[in-house]
Amino acid sequence: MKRSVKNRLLEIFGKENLLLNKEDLICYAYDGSFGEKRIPDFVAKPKSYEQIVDLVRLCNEERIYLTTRGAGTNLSGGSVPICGGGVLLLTGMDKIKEINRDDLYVVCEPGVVTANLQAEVEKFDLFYPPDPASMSVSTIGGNVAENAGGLRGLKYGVTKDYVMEIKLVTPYGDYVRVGAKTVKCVTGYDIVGLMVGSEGTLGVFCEMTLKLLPKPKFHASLVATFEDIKDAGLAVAEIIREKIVPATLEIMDNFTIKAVEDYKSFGLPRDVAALILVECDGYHTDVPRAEMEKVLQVCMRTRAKDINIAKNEAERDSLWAGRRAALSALSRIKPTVVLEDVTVPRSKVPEMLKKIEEISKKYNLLIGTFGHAGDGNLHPTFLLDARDEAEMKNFEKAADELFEAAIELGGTLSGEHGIGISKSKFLSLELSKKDIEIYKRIKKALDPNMILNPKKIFFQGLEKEKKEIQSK
Amino acid sequence: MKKKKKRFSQNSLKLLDEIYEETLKCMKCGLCRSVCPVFLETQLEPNVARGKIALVQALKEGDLEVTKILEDRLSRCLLCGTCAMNCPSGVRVDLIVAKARVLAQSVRGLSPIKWFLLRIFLKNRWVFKLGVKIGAILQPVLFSRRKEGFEIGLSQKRVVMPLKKDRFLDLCQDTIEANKKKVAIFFGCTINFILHHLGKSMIEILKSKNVSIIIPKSQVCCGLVAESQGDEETFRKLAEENIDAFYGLSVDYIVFACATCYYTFKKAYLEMLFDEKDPYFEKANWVAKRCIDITEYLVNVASVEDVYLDENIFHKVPKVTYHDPCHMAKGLGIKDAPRRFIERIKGIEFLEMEEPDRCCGGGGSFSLKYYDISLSILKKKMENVKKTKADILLTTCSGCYNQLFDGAKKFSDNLLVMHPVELYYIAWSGKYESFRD
Repeated sequence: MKRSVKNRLLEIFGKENLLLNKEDLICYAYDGSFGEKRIPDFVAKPKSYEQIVDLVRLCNEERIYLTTRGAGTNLSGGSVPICGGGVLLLTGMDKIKEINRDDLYVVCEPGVVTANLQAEVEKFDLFYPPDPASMSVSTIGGNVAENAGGLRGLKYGVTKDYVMEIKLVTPYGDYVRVGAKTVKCVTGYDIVGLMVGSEGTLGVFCEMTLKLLPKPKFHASLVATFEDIKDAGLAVAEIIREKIVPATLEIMDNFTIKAVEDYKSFGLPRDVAALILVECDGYHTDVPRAEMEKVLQVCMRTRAKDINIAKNEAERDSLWAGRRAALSALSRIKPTVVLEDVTVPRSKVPEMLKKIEEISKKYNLLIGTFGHAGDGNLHPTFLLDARDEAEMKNFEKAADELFEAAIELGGTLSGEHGIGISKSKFLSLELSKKDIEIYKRIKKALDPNMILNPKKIFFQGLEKEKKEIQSK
Repeated sequence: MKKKKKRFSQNSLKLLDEIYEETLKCMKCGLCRSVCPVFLETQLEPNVARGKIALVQALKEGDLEVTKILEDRLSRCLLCGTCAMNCPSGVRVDLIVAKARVLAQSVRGLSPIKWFLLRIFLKNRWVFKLGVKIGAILQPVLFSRRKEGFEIGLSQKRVVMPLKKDRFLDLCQDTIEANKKKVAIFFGCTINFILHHLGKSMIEILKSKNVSIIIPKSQVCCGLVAESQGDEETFRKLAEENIDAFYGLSVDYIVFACATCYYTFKKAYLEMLFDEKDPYFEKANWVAKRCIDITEYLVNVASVEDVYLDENIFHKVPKVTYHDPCHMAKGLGIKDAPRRFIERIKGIEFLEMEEPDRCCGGGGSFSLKYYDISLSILKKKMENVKKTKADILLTTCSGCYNQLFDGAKKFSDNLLVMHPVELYYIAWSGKYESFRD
């Protein structure tokens, strides 16, 4: 790093909010994904948007790469500073500025932890539904940048459905506001929609206004087991066809059930092919109960082996404890865990499950599958040993096949983890050259020097062009 | 110019491989960020388990050497085990950090002050005893006296309990003969040099239950403080002395009134020092199997009866709450026994605080080195205590006891800190003696 740049950074952030020691930088070289890492040149921890403006302008002038980071729980490499440069750490900006009970929104800074935001709004009987599994540590800024999903996607949608307004610093260093604090807003382009899920490549979010709902007060939960995984898939499809919209509709395959039972005994049957977990909620006590009655009928029709409705809060908790333990249970089996998030139209869930089973056999890999069957978002979880080269080669082939299968079924590469580094090489499976061209043009228009989160999403083409820009 | 690399010895390389192997279980999910007390105060990744794992992996992969800064980052950990307990993959981060400190120490050596304190002072019981005696005599001169304690540290911010001139161990009988139930007692440094009345309470209550007691006089400090500084040499010497002191005694149990000492005997000796190939493995295992916390013993084995706390002692029915020591709740999974023991004390109002197992921020020497971080963790603890409006705060660990004592002096008016056994003894004997006596 140039001395002048270092001095300018010190001017902006002061010694205490600028990390330059290698020992500290190493701790910002990775995120939650499996794959490449890179030690950044510096980590800057702003307290205000003014500091971000100064930093982005400096980086834009000096052509320094900048990767924005929250809690670093990203599962696709989105927060890895893969080209070096700086890491812009937003966890210090963690204020909830306003909870508006008249207009039902919350205004917060990007570093607020998702679960904290939920707890704060729930004090007023309000509800922020997106619930990614990492929500006890993940930040709202990261959730918006990755358009995070969660268990409640089926009924309540994902992060993009809740973002009303964003204040952000553009890659050329302007502080701007997009969207509005109104329910409706068609003034100008829908830049909010563009920014959500842009994986940190188009701007640095400094403040967000998020929509809130009244908190549903009543819940009913059910678990049903199936001897044939196809029947479980059928039950999922039938529930939707009956026009029931459960808050969550989850599936676990036999491998995962067995792993969960080995890990801790939750009393799940080891011999069933799959189980589904359904939760309905509502603002009135009759609603979830009536819906659950219908779910029960569907499960009986689709040849469920056992059906169990939780009678009280404690039983409900124990039903869900098994599902919540799924990843823990799987991750203890082997040292390396790769959690995928292929998503297909929900009617194709049975076929996708079958395909995953085939891939597992073909490449002799352990794959546990669980996930949000209700919205077609599955989590095939590969259990590997990174030191076993042969196994890792098989995994690569299996991953190729997995993504091809998802696309063939009309699905998508990633439901909620993002493309980042991990999936960028598969992008052409889903998108044509012309499709990708739109993204490239947008990126070039907003970030002509390509400083923000380089080499992510659709990196290959851009790298060459960047060199051309810089050589001019 | 390339700096000359500090070479790892053969043993250090073996240790590094061992630690590295454990780090591979980490899937980098980052959930440790939601529970680590040090991280929650500082919000810096090097302070959390996932960051420490990255540092160890960088050592192994050759991206990093053992530096002073690395040593500092490794020491920013309370070894409270909260991350390990909450880790989805079950990574033993507490062992990774403790062993990485041993590794760092083997490359860089101990600092002169640590070397003196650990190798000269702690390692030799006679020097230790003499040192404490001199300290006890000098403390009124060196430190400003506050109500019931002294303020130490350069900034004189920390309030500590006064030292005793004599070791409790030297004041009690070797053996107390009674009926078939037989126990040995391990006191630990805090009882030996500060909380004499706790030691006395233990003995008196055990005697009242007709338990035969053996007090091996050759017991020494449990050594965990040396381990937490990466000083395996001192730790091993103290561990061997302790195991020799207790091994083969004809007792059913070895009783502890300090969660940290208990954890050290029960788990740390075996996990940190004596693997199956070690000549001390069998003996250490024999000792570990017989270890029990005093509240566990009194409730489950001796089945103590209810005692009634006279209202006149505290001039009211005191409100009481309990803090779970990390080494007890997270290290050994014991939460129930102390509570059931406290239930035996009638005439008090027991109130559970929020997050009773949240670390108090003591972490042994952590609170000396990073007093500011420790204090902000302590403050959160004391806020939870305050919400219960408790008059008495109980805990079963001498490390927490010291830390909470400081917290009580700073953040509350008249809060008393005690071990449950002390309170039981007060109720039983009808007399309130504090450590001032």
